Amino acid sequence: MWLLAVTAAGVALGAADARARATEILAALAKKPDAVRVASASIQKANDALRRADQLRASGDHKRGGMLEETALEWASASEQLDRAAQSEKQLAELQTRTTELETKVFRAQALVEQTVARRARAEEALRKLETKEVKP
Amino acid sequence: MSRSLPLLALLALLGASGCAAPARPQIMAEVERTRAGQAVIDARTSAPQAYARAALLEKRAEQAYSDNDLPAAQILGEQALAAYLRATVEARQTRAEARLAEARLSEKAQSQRLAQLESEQQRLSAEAADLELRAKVARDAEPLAKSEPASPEREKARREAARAIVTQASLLCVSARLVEPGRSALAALTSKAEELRKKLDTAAPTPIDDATALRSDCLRELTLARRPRAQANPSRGESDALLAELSRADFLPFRDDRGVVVALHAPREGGKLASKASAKLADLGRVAKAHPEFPVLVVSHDARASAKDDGLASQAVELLKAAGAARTEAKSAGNTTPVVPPERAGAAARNERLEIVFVSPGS
Repeated sequence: MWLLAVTAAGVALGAADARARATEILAALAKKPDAVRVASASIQKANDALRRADQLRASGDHKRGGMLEETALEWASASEQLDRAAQSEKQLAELQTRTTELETKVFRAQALVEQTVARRARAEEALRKLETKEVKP
Repeated sequence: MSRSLPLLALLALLGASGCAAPARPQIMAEVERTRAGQAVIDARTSAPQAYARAALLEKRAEQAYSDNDLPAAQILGEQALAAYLRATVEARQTRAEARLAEARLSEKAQSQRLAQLESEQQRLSAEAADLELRAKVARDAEPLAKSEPASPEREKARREAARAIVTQASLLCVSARLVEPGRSALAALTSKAEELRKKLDTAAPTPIDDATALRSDCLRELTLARRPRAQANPSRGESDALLAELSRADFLPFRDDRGVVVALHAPREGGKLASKASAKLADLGRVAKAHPEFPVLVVSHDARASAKDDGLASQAVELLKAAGAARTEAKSAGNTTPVVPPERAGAAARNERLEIVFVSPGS
């Protein structure tokens, strides 16, 4: 009997935890316009699940209300992950742009070094000729 | 028998309808379609745990449906759908992070390569400049064909050119002394310059060849005075940095054999330094203070014929020192090195100037 009571309490606690976590995630996402934009569909589904959970709990169906809160948490977590993935992809795009610019700079620097090597060789040759002329009587 | 047939059929229909499975929630079909999609198939390998979790939720939804618990099947189906979305997003993020790591490595490698190339470029450029200067010195030191006597007009032009060359030589020798104060050969060259100046004031044939040789000797001395520093660190590029700094400050600097030069025009105002020039000199003094490795040579140029040194360069040196310049020297070039021929209109305004030379200590 006591085991059943403990399990029921654990389930209730787990569901409450799911609601709290889902609400927390959704509140954090609401502060980020980019996140709201990229994950609007799943955020909407999470909010919808929470609303339905409220209705079920109000009608006394706590078991299914808890399940819907778990569903809300699943959608909220998916939204959060979508935001993170979008951020990583944005970061990647910026980094790739920078790397492309760097590649261009490296290419130009390489060309400049080659020109300077040639300039140095010409100067060396000119000096060698002049010094050889000096040595000759 | 014929009357009992419709009754049997009705009973059979009622029995069949009583045993039929309940309608499958639409969400479960959507979950199946999602699972069959390419994104979820990819997630199976790149986000296996998230995929397994979603599959478990789908299985639980199926179980609830089998148990005729349609509301639970609906809710678990929604959960499974969200979990499959999470699996695909996790796979997307894993891919993005892997590519980010690759891109970071590539950026680092490119940055290192660029730094390496820039350093190599500086070193090579300094070496090339040194070789070019040495070649120039060697070329200048080549024995010149002796100048033959010329017509009076030609002789006059030659005399003016010789005066300019002697002035240039003197300024190069002073620059060499500023870079290496104890350089022994300079005293003889300075005496030679003085001797040539006196000779140019007489009616004797113009010593143009001697003047040219003197300039070469002074340039060689300056190059030799710079060499230890240039060899110690060929890629330093300190003159480039100073030139860039002065350009940014709108001083319109330029470079010559002596170093980095800033020319101040209209420097005189009632026989003294003009206020505008004084303000610029104070700024240049601060630049000199920030670059103590560059000694500063101040050269006043006068547009008036046979004008005496009015101490303008010395006044400028005082201002530079007051602003923090450490090693400075003043010289007057008189009217020997005009920028434009004096007879041209507006020549005086361009020829009368004060040159502030940041003598390059290295290459």
